[in-house]
Amino acid sequence: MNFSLLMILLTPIFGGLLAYAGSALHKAVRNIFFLIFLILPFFELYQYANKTIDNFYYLTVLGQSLSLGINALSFMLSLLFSLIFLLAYIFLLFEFDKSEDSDLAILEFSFLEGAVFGVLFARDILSFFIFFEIIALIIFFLIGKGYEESHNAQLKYITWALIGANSMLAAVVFLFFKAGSFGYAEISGYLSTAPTPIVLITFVLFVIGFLIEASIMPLHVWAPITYAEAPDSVSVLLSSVVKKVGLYLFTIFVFSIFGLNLFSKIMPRVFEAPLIMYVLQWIGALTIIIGTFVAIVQEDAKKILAWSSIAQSGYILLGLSLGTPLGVAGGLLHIVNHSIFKGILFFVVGGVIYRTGTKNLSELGGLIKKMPISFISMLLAIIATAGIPPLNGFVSKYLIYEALIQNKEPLLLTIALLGGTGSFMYVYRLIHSIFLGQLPKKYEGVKEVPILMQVPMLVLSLLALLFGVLPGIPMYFVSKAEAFLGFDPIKYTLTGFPEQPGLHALNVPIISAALMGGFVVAALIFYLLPKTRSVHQLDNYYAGEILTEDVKYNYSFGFYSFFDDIIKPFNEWSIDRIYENFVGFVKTVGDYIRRIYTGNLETYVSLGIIILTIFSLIYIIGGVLW
Amino acid sequence: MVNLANPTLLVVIPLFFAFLSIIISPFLKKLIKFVPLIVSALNLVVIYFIGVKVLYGSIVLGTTAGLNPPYVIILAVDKLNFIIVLMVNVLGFLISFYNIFYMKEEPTDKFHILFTLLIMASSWISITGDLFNVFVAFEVLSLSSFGLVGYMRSKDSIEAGFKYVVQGILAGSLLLIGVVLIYAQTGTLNMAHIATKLDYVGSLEKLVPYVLIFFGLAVEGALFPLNSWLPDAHPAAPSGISAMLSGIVTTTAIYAIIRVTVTVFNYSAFIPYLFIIALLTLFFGEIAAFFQKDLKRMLAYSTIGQTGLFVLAFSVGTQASISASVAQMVNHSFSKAVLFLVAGIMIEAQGSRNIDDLKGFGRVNILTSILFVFAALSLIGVPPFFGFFTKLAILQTLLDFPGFLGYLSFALVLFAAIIEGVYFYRVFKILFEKSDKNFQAENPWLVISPFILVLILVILSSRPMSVLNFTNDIANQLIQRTIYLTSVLGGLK
Amino acid sequence: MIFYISALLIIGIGIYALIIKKNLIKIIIGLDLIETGINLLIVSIGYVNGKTAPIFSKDVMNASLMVDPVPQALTLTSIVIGASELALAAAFVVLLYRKYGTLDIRKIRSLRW
Repeated sequence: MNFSLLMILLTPIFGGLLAYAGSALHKAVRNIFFLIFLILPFFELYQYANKTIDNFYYLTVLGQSLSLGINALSFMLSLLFSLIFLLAYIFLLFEFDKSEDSDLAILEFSFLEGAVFGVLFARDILSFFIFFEIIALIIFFLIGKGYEESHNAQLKYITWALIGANSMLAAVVFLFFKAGSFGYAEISGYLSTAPTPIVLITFVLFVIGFLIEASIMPLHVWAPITYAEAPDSVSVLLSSVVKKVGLYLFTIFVFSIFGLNLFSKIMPRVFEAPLIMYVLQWIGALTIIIGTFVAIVQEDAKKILAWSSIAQSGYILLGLSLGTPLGVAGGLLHIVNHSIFKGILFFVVGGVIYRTGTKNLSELGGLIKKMPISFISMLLAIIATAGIPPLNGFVSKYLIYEALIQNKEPLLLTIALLGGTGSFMYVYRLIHSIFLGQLPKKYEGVKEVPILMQVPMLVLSLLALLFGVLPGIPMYFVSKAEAFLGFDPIKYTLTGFPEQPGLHALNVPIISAALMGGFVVAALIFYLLPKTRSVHQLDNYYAGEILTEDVKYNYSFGFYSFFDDIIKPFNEWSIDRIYENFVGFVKTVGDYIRRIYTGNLETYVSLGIIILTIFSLIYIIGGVLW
Repeated sequence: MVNLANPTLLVVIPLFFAFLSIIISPFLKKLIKFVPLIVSALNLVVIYFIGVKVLYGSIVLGTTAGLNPPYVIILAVDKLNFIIVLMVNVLGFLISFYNIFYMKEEPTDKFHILFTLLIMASSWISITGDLFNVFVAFEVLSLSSFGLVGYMRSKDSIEAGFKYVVQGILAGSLLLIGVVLIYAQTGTLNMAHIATKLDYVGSLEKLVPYVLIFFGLAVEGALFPLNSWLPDAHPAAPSGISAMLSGIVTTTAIYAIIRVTVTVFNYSAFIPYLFIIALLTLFFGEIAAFFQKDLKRMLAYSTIGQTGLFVLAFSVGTQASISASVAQMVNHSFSKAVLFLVAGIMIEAQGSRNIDDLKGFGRVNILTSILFVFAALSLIGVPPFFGFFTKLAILQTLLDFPGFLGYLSFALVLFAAIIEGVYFYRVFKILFEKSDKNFQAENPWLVISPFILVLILVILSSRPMSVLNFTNDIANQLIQRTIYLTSVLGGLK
Repeated sequence: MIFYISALLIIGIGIYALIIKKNLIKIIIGLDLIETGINLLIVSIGYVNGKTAPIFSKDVMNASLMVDPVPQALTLTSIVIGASELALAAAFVVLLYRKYGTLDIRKIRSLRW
């Protein structure tokens, strides 16, 4: 059967509407309806596995046909996003099981998936913009269904999304005005001969829009609060899908529409990259370092994940903006890998919140025995986050490091490595405070999350492990995508990479085996040497103090306070504060400006008369002069 | 057989019913409330017959006496007139339906008579081909809207009404001086005739009447220095009237400005000033709207901003820009009318106009809130709603404006779009916020009109390009002045 | 010429009253002055020295001996409109006095910003 791209785009939307109608009958009807329509895209996408389609017209605007198309990159991402949408939907059913918003949430969810497909399939600057704005709109409403502070998050998110959208709109209209067409190909053709200022201005305008959605450093202000306060399934989507949509667009625009050749032509090269790409590398690096350090000192589980997500998109940006086959492969692979492991983390934390009702780390602890499956999933995910083999995060980070070495950029490499260490610090904090240590009394009755809720975590964990041990699987898609972007794809095997220029041979199973060997040694030592003995909490020495059982003795608040002390001076000039001051200034000015409506009749009348006189005078004098 | 395609009927029918209802109101007070509904329905029938002819490119004329133009008062309908008068009567019809259920305190007969007059005057302005008629229709419009604004007789509405009256009278005077000065130079009041004669008048002699007429119309059209009555009057008036003032009165005034500027004066020299005024209007309107706590006052300031937007588009002066401007006008009229009508429902349900008191309203009355959201999204220009395509067209034409000013306005429009987006999204946020407040359920009768309007907006959104193509036809017909001039001056047998 | 100047003068006085005076009644008087000035202006535009009223009668049957009739028609219309508007304004003043207990415009500014 032949499915057109428009059908794929409309499938989830149609399913959502059907499910919304079905919710009148019974919840189960609704759930199953929608589930079917979330699975359908996989089958529909199957036929596009090896095709590049460019022209599928669906609408005509301002005399221009808008078209849909698919290529290797968008095929890979649409497959990945369909999976994450499916899993997030399963999670959402549980998360919203008691809420009255569930029907509406499902409807919005379906539109979100349709819009995401729309951005991926767009082949012109107008359609991508349309779908991008729909994403922002729906995310706005979805966020509002979250935690207490979510309404502040909504406003912050939409302000930034509007700034990004209008900045992109400026570039879209401007390019259309100049090039007379919306199509990616025509725009690209126009840009290759356009004057330098136009290229630079439109590029910056577009990139602002993308990087806001990707929450890259100076434009990330909305992200922590939004990620933390949105419903958990929406946080997954924000981090694993919406952010990646921004980065996907960044990739397409940098390599396919503007093109590195264009940049090299109009600006000097620094470290083998055009200047603007070099600046972007540094922005990525700053995002890594600041995001990681701030994540370390957070006390809220979802805030940690939010900052971690910011930091990880710094890696992706850094890899992509290197502009070498190696760096781009690393960036694209990290897009896939980060979607997977950050998805697990959000799912696990969401499951913990589902059972315990808090996301404050200092109130949690010792859940390992109560929620073993969640614990194992999170363990895998944090290994991946920290970039340790044999999980998937390792391979992509390895590629990025190697690419940095190949470009001879020691400073950036140091930062990236430092970020790796930092990420281990915050993920350890996360698993420690949630699963290890003492179990608070009130959580004695906590059970593992329902089996269906475990499915998302387990599926993604397996994927993380699979992609970690056999990086050839994702590399199959990534190298095709790279070929589409115009690079020579790097060579790969199922288990790693052969020796090639700039990249040392890597065989993950062997490395993993060596690592396992280390673990075996450690385990032997652990089990052979005299055993540790667990003691009762009250079986202890104390002086003058009365010990009670309900006091927790594990260390979970201010975990990294020494580290906090180190970075505290820098908090003084945090970016948030700069923005807040700026907004305060703008508000004050605006408040004065609007006072022109004084409520005094004579002001209004005289203002009118004055302007009338001025205009007449200007015109008369002007008429006499000319 | 009566020729129904006669523009005169559009004025005569409402006028007849208005006078009739004054006579019969002592006996049949209860029935008066259906008068505006009937009137606009009848008008719509007439508009249908006119529209059939207009859409084929002809200009439909109607006269009041047996003589030939330019010696009689003439009513002419071309495509631009057609779309404006259609909008007036569609909105008039739906809003009067809304008013039937909104105005509860009997007796309401005077209210509905005034409303009939408002529909009449708006239709009249939008079809007249005579400059003095513009003035007279304008005064009828002002008088009826003064009465409607002050109708509630609360402290607010009287204060707003008085300020509106003073500025309205001033505006009428300016308009009248302008018209009279034109007459002094050309010896005629027929727009087409004036236009042919003004070609021989010096630019300075043209300027003074133009400025006066422009400022006279700008008061009702809510352009910057003269729009201060608007944010006072809209919140104070009953919601149906706010919708009418915002959706119709402003639009017809801007229509009149367009007609006078393009057809009568053919005036490109004034465009930079128009441009600056529109920019200031946009800027001040949006900034002031951002700070409002009162829902209807916020919408009123937003009206100012939107007016600035489409006058800005118009003032670029090309065919594409006029087309974009008219399309935005349509978008604004429909969506702002919905917003005011829905705001009326909200205010009725919670008893206060403060936005913060609406917390959680959307969880109780979901249909009303969704209508609000849809209309607001179309107004801000979020794709895939109709407003996005008009905004796109406007932005594109702004780049046509020569020099630095074009880029400046381009940036300012985007800036205004951000501000506007933020304050509307803030309302959405409050609507769907969790709260324990209890609201009355929405009155289903009140929801019908905004619902139909949103349906119209959705239909427009599904075929944005056919609307823009139609407005392009309008702009084309408007720019080719000779067609209008010759068919008005020689068209009637 | 004297008509034009005096008409503009009257309009100017009206605008002055509108801007400077704080009393509602005086503001209305200012509006009235503006309208009167305009009416004078209209009539004087149509006036031709030494000609009679534009009414066909036994004495005058020749149209070229009459002044322009259109401005006089306009004046009648504008007088009617002006009178009704001022009546409405006066009604508002009465209501304002009942609600606010003052006629000072400076005290009636609860609606602003």
